[in-house]
Amino acid sequence: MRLFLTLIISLFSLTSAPVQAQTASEILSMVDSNLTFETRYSRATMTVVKPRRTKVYEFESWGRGVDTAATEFLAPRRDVGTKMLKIGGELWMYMPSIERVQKISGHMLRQGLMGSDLSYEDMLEFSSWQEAYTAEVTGTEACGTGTCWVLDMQARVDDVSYPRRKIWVDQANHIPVRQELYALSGMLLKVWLMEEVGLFGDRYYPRRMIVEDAVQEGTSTTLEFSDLQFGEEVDQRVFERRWLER
Amino acid sequence: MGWLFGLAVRNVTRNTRRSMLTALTVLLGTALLTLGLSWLNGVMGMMLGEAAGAAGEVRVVEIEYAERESTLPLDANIYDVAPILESIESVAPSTSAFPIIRSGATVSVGEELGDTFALIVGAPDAYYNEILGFEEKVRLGAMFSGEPDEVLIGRLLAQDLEAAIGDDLVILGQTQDGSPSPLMMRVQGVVDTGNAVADRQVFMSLERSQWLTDIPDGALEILVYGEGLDEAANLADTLRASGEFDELLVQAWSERELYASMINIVSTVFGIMAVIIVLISALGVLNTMVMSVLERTAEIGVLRAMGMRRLSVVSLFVTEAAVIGVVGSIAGLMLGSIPSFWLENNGVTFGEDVAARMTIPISTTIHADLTIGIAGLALMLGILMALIGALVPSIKAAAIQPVSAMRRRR
Repeated sequence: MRLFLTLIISLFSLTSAPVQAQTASEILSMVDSNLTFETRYSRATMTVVKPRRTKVYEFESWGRGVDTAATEFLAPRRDVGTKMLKIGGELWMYMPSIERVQKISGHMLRQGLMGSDLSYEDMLEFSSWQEAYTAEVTGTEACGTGTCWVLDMQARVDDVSYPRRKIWVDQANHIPVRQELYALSGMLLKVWLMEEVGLFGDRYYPRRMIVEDAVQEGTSTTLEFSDLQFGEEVDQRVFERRWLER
Repeated sequence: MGWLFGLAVRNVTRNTRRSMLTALTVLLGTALLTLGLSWLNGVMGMMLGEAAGAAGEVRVVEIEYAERESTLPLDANIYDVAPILESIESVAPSTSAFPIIRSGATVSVGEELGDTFALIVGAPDAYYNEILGFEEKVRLGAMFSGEPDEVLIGRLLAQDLEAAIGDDLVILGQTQDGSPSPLMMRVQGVVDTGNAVADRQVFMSLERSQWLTDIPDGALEILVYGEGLDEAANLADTLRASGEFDELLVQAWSERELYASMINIVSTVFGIMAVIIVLISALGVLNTMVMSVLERTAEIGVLRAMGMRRLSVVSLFVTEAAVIGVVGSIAGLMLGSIPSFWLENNGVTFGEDVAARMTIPISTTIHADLTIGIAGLALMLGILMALIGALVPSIKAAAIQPVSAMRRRR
C-alpha cells in the first residue's frame, strides 16, 4: 500500500512539475513571446460601446518591434484615411479632411484612441512585460476550460500606462485571458479580456479583445481581428512620416 | 404732534454747526450708498443681461448634461432637436428657440496645428443676429453669407492667432465619441462683443458644429427666449407643465446654479455694503446726537418737570434726527447721483485679463445703473441711519430724572 501511495505521489509530482515550477518571470517570458513580435500586420474592427451610442471602426495596422506601429482607418466614412504613426514615444496623426498632421504626445498618448477604452499606447505599443514589471504568482484559478496562473505585476519603470496589473495567464497557451489594470492610487481602471485564442505560426494570439472601462459604467471596446499575420515582410515605408500624407 | 415737529425743527436750527455736522454724516453715507448700490445694480444687470441672456432665458437640456456641464459632455446631447423645437413651438408659440452646441477645440491659422484653445459655438444664424446682436458687433469682414464653411471669431482670438479675413482656420475638436475631429473653416468676420470670454470664441453654423461633434441632428442645449428674464420662471413652468419635456431638464436662468449663486453673491454684497455704510454713518449721527443730549440735559429736565412724558422726549430727538436725516439724505442722493450718472454713461473699463479669468462671460466695461428703486432705497437707508444714530441718545435723554438734571445745572 505504502509503495502504491509513493508511486502515485511520485507520478503526480512528475506530471505537475512543469506547471508548478514556472516562476513569474518565466510565465511573463512566455506571455511576451506570444504578444511581442518582430513584425505584425492586422486588420480589425473596433466596436466602441458607450451608454448612449455604439460606433464601429475598421482599420489596418502594421507593427514593428515594441514601439513602432502604423494604423490606417477604413471606416466609418468620416474617419476613412485617418492615419496614425507611432515611433518611440512620439505619435503623429494624419487627418485627411484638413490634410494636416498632428503630433500627439505626453499624457495624450494615454487617452482613448478614437474615443475607445484603448489608449494610443495600448493599441500601438507592444513592450515586454518581463522588462517593465516585477511579478509574483499569487495562485492558480480555473479559467474557461483550463487553468490560469494568477500574477500580480508591479511596474519597475515609471513610464508605463498601468503601474499595476493583475493577470490570469492560461496555462495551455500562455495568453493573459484576463487582465485587471490599476492606477497608481490602486483604483481599477480597466478589465481586459482576450478571447478566441488561435495559433499563428509558433505563437498564440487572441482574435478578440474586450476592454471594459471600470470607471465609467456601460462603456466597453471590442477589438476583433479579421486578419492577423506575424513575421511577414512589412513594407517599411508605412513607418515613415511621408506615408502619413501619401 | 405738530408742536413736537415745530420744536424739533427749532432745535435743529438752534445749533446749526452741530446739525450741519450730523447732516453731513448722513449726506456722505447716502451719497456712498447711492453710488455703491447703483454700481452693484449695474454689475448685476450686466451679468444677467449678458451671461444669462446669451445662455437662454430658459433652456432645455438632457439631465445628464446639466450634471456634467462643466466638462462640456458632448455625449450627453439631445440627439434629435426637431421634435423638441416643435413641442416648444406648440406649447409656447410666442417664443424663439435655438439649438446650440458648445465644444472645445484647438484652433490655428496656417500650416501647423497650434495649441490655442477656443470654445466653438454652433448655432443658427438667427441666434447670432437676434440674441447676440452680431450684425452690429462685426468689426472686420462681414456676417455669415450662407456659405457652409464660414466662421466668425472673437477679436481677442483673432489677435492671438494673427488671423485675417479669408484665412483658413484649422479646428481640431472632438466628436461626441471622443475621437479627433478636424475642420477647416474660413474666417468671414471678426466680432468685438466687449466681452473677454466671448471674444475668444469661434462662432459657426449649427450644421458645421453638428458635423464637428458628430451629433448629426442634435444639440447640447435648446435656448428659449420669451418675454424677458423676469418672465423666464413662468415660461419654464409653462413648458414643464405641458408634460412634453418630462425626460429632459427645463430650467429658467434663475434656476441654474451658476446664476442663482451669482444672484446670491451680489445680493449678499449689496446687503453687507449697505449695513456697513448705514452703521458707520449712524455712529457719526450718534456722536453728534449724544453731544446734543449732554448739552441739553437741564433743558430736558425742565421739560420733564413740566410734564413731558418719556415717550415724547424720545419722539423729540427722533424727530430731530429724522429732519436732519431727510435733509442729509436728499442732499446725499443728489451728490451720489452725479458720479452714478457719470458711471452709467461712461462705465469703467478694466483689463481683458481680469474678464477672461471670470467663469462667466462679462463685459470688460461695467456701467452703473441708477434706478428709481435704487434712489428710493438709498434715501430710505439715509433716513434710517439718522434714526438708528438717534435712538440711543433719545433713550438716554428720556431716562433723565428732572430733579437731578436741574440740580446738575446749578
